[in-house]
Amino acid sequence: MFLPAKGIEMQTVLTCLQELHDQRLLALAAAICLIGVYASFTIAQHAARSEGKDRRNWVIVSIVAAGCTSWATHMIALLAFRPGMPSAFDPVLMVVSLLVVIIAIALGMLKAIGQRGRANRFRAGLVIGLGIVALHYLGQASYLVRGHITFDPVFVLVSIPISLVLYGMAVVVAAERNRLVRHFGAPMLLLMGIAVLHIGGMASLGLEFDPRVGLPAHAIAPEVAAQLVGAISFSLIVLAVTGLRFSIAAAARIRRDRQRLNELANIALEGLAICDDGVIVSANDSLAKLSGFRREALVGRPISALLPTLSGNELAYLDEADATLAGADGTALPVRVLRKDVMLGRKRQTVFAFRDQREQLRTEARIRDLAFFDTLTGLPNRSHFADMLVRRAETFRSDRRPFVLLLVNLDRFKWVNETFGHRVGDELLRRTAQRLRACIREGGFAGRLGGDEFALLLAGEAASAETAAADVVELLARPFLIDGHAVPLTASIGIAVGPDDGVDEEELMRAADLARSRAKEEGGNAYRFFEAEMNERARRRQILEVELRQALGLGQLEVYYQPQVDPRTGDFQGAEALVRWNHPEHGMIGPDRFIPLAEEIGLIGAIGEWVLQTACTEATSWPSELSVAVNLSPSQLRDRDLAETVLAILELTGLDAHRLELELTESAIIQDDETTYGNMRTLQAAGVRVSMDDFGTGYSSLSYLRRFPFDKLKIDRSFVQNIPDDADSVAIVQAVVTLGRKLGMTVTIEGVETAEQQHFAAVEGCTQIQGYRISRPVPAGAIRTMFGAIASERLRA
Amino acid sequence: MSDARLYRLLYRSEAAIPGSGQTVEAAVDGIVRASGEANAAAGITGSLVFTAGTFIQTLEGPLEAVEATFERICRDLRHRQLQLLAMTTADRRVFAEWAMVRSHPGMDLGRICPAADAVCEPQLQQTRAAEAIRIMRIALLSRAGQPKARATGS
Repeated sequence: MFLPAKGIEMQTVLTCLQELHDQRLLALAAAICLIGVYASFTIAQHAARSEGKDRRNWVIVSIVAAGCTSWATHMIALLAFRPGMPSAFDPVLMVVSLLVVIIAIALGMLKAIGQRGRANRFRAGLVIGLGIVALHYLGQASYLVRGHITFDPVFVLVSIPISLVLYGMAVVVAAERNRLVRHFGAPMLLLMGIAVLHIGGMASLGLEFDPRVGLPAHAIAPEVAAQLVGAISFSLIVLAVTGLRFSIAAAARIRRDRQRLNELANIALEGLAICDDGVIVSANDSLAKLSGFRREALVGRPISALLPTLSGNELAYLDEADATLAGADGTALPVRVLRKDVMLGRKRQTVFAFRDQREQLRTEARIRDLAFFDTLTGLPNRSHFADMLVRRAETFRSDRRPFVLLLVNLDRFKWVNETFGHRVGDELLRRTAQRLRACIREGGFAGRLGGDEFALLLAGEAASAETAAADVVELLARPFLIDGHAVPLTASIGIAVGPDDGVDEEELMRAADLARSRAKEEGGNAYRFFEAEMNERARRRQILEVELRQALGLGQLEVYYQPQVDPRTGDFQGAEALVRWNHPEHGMIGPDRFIPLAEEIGLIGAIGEWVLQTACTEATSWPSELSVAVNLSPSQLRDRDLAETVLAILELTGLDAHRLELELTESAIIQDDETTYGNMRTLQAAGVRVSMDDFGTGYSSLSYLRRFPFDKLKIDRSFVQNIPDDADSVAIVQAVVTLGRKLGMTVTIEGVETAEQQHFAAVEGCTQIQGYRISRPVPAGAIRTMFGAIASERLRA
Repeated sequence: MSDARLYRLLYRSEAAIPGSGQTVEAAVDGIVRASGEANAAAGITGSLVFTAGTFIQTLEGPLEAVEATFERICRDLRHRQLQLLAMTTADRRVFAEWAMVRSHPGMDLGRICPAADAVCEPQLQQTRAAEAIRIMRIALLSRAGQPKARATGS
């Protein structure tokens, strides 16, 4: 029999706990409580890591587990009670108490979720606490004995508020930052709350045996209740083990994820740093490589130390920025920095990505170079040089410092390219650029305007320009040794002095260009200053150009004819057609004075076609055995449509192809152009004869004879004029005549002026002569008369 | 394109080095020293005669190196009136021992071109540039000519 006395002290409480309880069952209650709390917490954590439906289910399991823990602890503690009289349990109240505590915990949890404020969490704890209090007293109410049960209100009223405060604090602590406090403090407080409540409740209990009191029919014996409690406890143990496995698995996954993240970060090409409050907490290998710091050395370093060019504000708010990365060895690397806030685990952290910009900057520089510099020589290109000249001309207005422009043009570069090939030509240009640089003193620079055109912009006056120009002429005249060839070269230079010869870029360029043309016309390998007179000459040339463009339409061009005869018999064989320009002011102008101009301005096609047509028409009025010879210019020969044009003219005029002879010079075929040879072959196949004009004045005449079967060789007049006095000339002409005969070609000697020369030609076996000895070139009417006389003579004969 | 053959080159030029006799001599010594170092690295051997304001230089080595060295000289404004006198392929080096030796007009030319002792000795009294060119040319051509004679002679 146990009678709790009023005003009992703590000693009594302990005695009552020790003596009236089964100690082993009490220990079991404590163990089940610990296991249940652990199970509830781990399952709750698992729920927090899960998502969707799983998450909800696990939350429910966690709440039910928490409720069952409280309930089972309480029930085992009750079972441990040995009141010394028959006892039993009311199953309805047992179940109700379990439901009440589960609902209370659920409500408390709902209230606690997402609550950061401690007061709110405390209130949630109170709700849970109230549930546990209800559980306790309902549970106590389910405990039935054969006797009377009384409560001492003092213990009850003291223990309930204390335990409620402990529950409240447990929920507050459960959300604390400190891991240790969170993981151990919360369960401890919860246990303490349960203990206080239970001990208080048990201590307040007063029992008096009364055999008259019977146990209700629905009451269940403690042994039966123990089985139910045991089943629920076992479930809790199973849950705890499950929770443990979840925890272990989760920890392993976190480790694996972290490792993968690390590996991923390390294979990233960009440098990565994860920062917490501006301090690096993790960095990848790329950043270590980029910065020169070891990865371990990067951790703990403030990010601002790596990016000294960015302010704190910029670091905190930028998305992307160009910056320099301060490397371990003190170098500053150009980088592109990207910043992003991310959630890593539960934490908000900042990730900085570093992109190495060196390659990018190099590419940009290369693109700039391509836009401004010539790739072959590395010199400024035309537009860049022109810009600099424009700027120099502008600054002259303020600083009045004189400057000079030199235009440098290589003589015979085209020939070098054709003779030695483009590889040598390119190398020559590269070396020319280097030699030009050697001629530049302080404050000057060179540019390549294109092709074989270079320019120098130098500080100083005319005198210093002259020194530089002389240097350029001298240096470029030195041989270029390329691939074992000593390539000879010279240059022509035009000089314009700013501001005397021009105040802007355009004027200066024009002036220097005129001076350069003059230097070239005078044979090259020289420099010339611009002179006002050059402008005048250029102007005159311009007028001539305009007039020449009109000449054809105005009928100012005429074709003259110089007869060709057999030196032995004096019989006419035909005539060479020669174009003349009957200029209204300057009188008759020879082809050598306007044909080059016509070539240059693209008029030669039209003029050539007109001459051909005129000559062919004219020849149809001559006796049929007489032929007509027409000169072709180099650009006509390169025209793809030449053969077609010629054949069309023959058809139009009705002249037999055998009566047309086309003359071309060695210089016209020097290009060794397939189009040229193609044209010649087509025409020859059609019956037109092809002759080589001015034979002996070109570069390597004999090789052309092998490349194309000419019908006729015309020995240049320069070989003929000293015949028969000059033995060398005689020998040359004899040799050529022999050569022509052996190759089956007609040989014509041009420029025959004397009877001796005609006799010489006849004796040497030359088959045709042409020259003043017979007749100078005459207009169409005169040649017709000349040929007509023969024809009529023959008719008469 | 790599041409393994040996080439030899001879040129003359007038020195445009401002200053008195002594400073010019010192400058020429400087040039010889500097070019000697560069030439040794490029596999060039040769000799340089400086007399009466005239340089006469031979360079021998692989084609590329000879061309590069000569190009450098062509860019040098301290040389004036530069003339390329001879460029031939060679069978072996005449100046094998010197990256660049400066021969004074008075010194024993036989030491510079040992193969041409007989040709050089009698003319050493004359120190004029033209003569020196002639001597070196003889030395060079006599060397360059030999293999040809052997190849076609029999």
